[in-house]
Formats: sequence, C-alpha cells, structure tokens
Amino acid sequence: MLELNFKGELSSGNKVQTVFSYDFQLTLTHTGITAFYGASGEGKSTLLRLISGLEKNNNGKISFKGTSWQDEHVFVPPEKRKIAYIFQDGRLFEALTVEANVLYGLGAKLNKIHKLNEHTSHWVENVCESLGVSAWLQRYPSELSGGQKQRVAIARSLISQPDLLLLDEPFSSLDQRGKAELLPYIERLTTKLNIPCILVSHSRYEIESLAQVGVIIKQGKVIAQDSILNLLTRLDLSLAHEEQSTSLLQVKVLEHNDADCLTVLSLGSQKVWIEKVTAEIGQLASIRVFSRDIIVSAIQPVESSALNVLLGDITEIEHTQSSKVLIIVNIEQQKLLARITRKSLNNLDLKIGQQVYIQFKSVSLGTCLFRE
Amino acid sequence: MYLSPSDLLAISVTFKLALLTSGLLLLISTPLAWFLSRWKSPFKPIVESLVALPLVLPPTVLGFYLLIMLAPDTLLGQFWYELTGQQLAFSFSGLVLASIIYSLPFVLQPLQLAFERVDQKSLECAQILGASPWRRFTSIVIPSTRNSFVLAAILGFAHTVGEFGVVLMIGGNIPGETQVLSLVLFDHVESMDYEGAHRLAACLVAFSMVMLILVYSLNRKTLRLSRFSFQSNVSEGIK
Repeated sequence: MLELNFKGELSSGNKVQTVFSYDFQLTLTHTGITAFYGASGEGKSTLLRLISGLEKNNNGKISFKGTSWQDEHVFVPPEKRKIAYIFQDGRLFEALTVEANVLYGLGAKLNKIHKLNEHTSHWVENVCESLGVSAWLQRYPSELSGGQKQRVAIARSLISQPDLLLLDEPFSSLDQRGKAELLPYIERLTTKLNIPCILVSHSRYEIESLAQVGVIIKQGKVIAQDSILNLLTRLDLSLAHEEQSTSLLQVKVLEHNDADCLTVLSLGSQKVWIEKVTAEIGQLASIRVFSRDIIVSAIQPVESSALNVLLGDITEIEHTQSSKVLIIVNIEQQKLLARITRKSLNNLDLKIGQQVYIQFKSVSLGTCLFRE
Repeated sequence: MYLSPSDLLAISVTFKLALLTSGLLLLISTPLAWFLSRWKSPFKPIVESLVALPLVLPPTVLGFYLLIMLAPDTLLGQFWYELTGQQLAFSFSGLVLASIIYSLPFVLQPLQLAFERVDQKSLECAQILGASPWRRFTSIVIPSTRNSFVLAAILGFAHTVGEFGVVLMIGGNIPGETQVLSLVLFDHVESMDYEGAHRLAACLVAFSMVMLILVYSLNRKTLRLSRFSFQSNVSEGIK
C-alpha cells in the first residue's frame, strides 16, 4: 500500500527555465503492476522520482506499508527505502563486471558470488538463471547489447530483495527485437516477486501487455485510476480516442483444434477462435481487439468468413462531429470498444440498449496475452 | 658534476615540503572540491575566486600577507606557539602552511572538475541500491576520477617544488629548515656561482621532465580508458 500526496513545482531545462507544477494524490493498493501512463513530459517520471526520494519535495507526504517515507518530520533517504528502480538506460556500472554489478546491492564486501553464504548465493544464482544472465557474469557491461544490459540491471535490482519495484520506461532505449526479448522477463519477474511494481510508460502496448491497473497522468495531475480493462473502454479518456485504441477481453483457454490450427477460447458462454497458441487448457488469458477492426451488425450475420461472432448490448455511444463514432458493447459483462462510421450508425439506427452482433476476423486479434 | 652538501640539504627539504604539502592538500581538497562541485549558491563564484586567488596573485603579495598572519603576535602565531613551543614564521611548519595555500588551486581545480563530471545517474543508481554516501564516493566517484587524483597530486607537488616568492618572504632561508631548492639556486646566482647554479638548474629541469614523463606514461598505461579526459584535465589544470 503506497500513499502519496505531492504538490509542488519543478524547474527544468538549463537555458529556458520551464516551471512544471504538479499535484499528485494517489493511493495504490495493487500488488501487481500499476502503470503510470501519459505522454512524454507530463510528469510520470517526476512522480517516480518523488516516490524513490531521488527528487526531493519539501511539502509532500509519502508512506509505504504504513511506514512514513516523508512527512513534516521525516525524510527517509532513497538508499534506505528498499526499492528497486529500473532506469531507461540500464545504468550499469561500466567499471565493474556483470558479477560485481548484480551483487552491488548486497554491500561493499560481497562483490563475488563465492563470498556469499549458501542461502544468498542460491538466491543470486536463481535470479541470474531466470533472467538468463548467468553466462555473462565475467563480462563487462560494454560487451552486452541494450536488452542484455537491461536484464542485468533487473537482476541487480532483484538481488537486493526490494519491497517496491519502479520501472521507468524500461523498453524505451531498446529496438523492437530488444523489447520483445525483454517483455516476458519483466512479466515473469513481477509474478515471481509478488511485490508492488510501478511501470512508467507512454506506450499503450506496454501497459496493455504488462499492467493490471493504470494511472493516467496529464500535466502533473492524476486524471484517472482504474483497472486497465476499464481505462481502455472509458470514453471520457483519451485512450479510447487514440488511433490504435483497443480493448482487452478476459478469456479462458477451452481447447486446441489441431485440424484447423486454431485455439478456442471461452468468453463467458460464448467462444472466440484465435490462431493456435501454446497454452494449457483452462489457463486465463486476455486478448486484445483493435476497435477499428470490429464490425457491428444489427442482425445475425450469415455466411460470413469472420469466425468470431459475439452477441452483446450497446451500453454507450459517443457522438462526435467527425466521421467516426465510438460505441461500447457489453459482452458477457465485459466491455468492448468499437469504432464505426457515423453513417453506419445512422444506417443501422443503433441505440443504447440494443442487442448487436460483433464480428472480428480471428487473424485481426492483437497479441494474445496470457496472465496467471 | 657534483651537488654541494647545502644543495643536497635543500633538495631534501624541498621534497619533504612538497610531499607533505601535496599529501595534506589531497586530504583538504577532496572534501572541499566535492562540496564545491555540488554547491549551488549565488555565493559560489566568490568562494571559487577566493580559492583560485593564489593562481593570479604575485607570490610576494601572498607571502607578505602570510608573513603578517604567521607573526608571533597574531592569534594564529600565538596558538601555534602554545601548541608546539615554536613560532610559525621562519619555520618549516609555517612553510607547509604557506605552500598549502599557495598550491591549493592546483590540487583543488582538477578534482573539482573531475567531480563535476561524475555521472549523476550512476550515483543515483547506487543510492537506490542502498549504497551509503561514503560507499557511493568510494565505489563510484573515486574509480571514475582516479586519474584526476594522480594529476592533482603531481601538480600540487611540482608547483610546491617550484615556489620561490612565498618562501622568500616567510621562510627566512634557514638551511635544513626553510632553505629550499629555488632559494639555493638564487643564492648561487647572487654570489656569481654560475657553475653551481647550472648544476642545480639542470637537476630541476631533469626532475620536471621525469615528472611529466611519469604523468604521461601513467596516463597511457593504466588510464587508457579515459585518456582523452585525462589530457583535457591536464590542460585545464594548467590553465
């Protein structure tokens, strides 16, 4: 449980002094990944630095699990907060080997694995193994790629056994391949640790893939705080209005159809077909559907090539002046965001409360994300 | 080509003085340079000017004020007399004190420059990983500024060896106590002993050369990684 309340100003920039004022009030109770989402320069990283104590603000309050980190009388320095902070650029100590880097958090004397006691060295080896960094222990950071450096940085943070994990745009310095490589490690790690994690990101793909709860930050203020599923389908927020807008549906793996190379997922009592994936039967997952890929029909479509036809009720319609409208369809108590043209809306005469059929091609599904 | 016993005595006094001065200066300058490299205040230029003053001030001016400051009737002079039973002016201790002030900018500035360049991000990272301020200094700052420490020590040492005006004013030219190389050389010239002056001057040239070779070879051998920054440090330090 993290509670904070910061109000203040921050001047940044050397030549042109820009004063950035912020007002953050937040309570986080979630133990999984909470995402701070917003465009660059809206104050997400500032908030993270305030939480870590790297940025000092004299009129703020922050407490973690009932212990005050900062109030009128107390300021716990960052080194005593037991947090891990994954920076954009890895920030490995270039002069030290990977081994000395990952052991840095254990203290000055323990800079070699063989100096550790059995319990600790077991833990260290376990972490290094699961992040795939064991083979590089004797190398120097300059010999590693960007993604490899980030994995070492993550191993280093974990070995110190933090109570809170802060991830500041961990993928931003990586190319597409590096991102794809790192994503599963971060996912695995946060489930393994079972500590609260905060992920700062301006990429909706990252927050959709990793976070369960999102906090939307704009101009130094918290605009909304909700589950990712809800945030994506809230019409009052900009997420739903983005070109790449999506919604996530929670499903369960029902069966694999080898003959057609498809996997069948259950969405309540309805079914969704996707291209075959490797997953255990009964596993929970979420699927990503782009709002622009959805076809809405007022009557049940017949002889359509689209495999997925779901039945739902329209719960919200947002009328705009543009050619497109956004509608929310409630399918089995889950919200699906669809974007259709205004012309179609008028032609079909769609109304709130009306029952509609939703179609999307199975191949148009976004990445299938599996969650524990 | 032999050096006279008085020459040798002066050499040993000079080296003792330079060694002690540069050693003490490293101890004083490290925290001071660290403080100055982090300090943000409108008064910073004033303090910086004050410590850089010995760079531009004629050594005789500095020597004159030191002479007045170290006199037995001043607070400092009295304090020293009560502490050690010796007077500070015209003594080796007084000379060390004067050299520390005189050579301070040569040790302080390379260190301050190096500290200012220490990667703030690495320090933050170490802090998050639980490192105390002292450990951050020893594990991050010192390894990345090692070359500047060597440079600062050598510059401080060499500059102390070369001082003349200040020791002339406050040293009193006492053999074995305050008579340093440069003064003996001056005495040789004064007494038209050009042969003796040549011998000593040649020794000083050779010594300076050895020091510089040491700097540059050390630079190449152990500091290869940061050679570029080291060389720019040398030029900035000398400026």
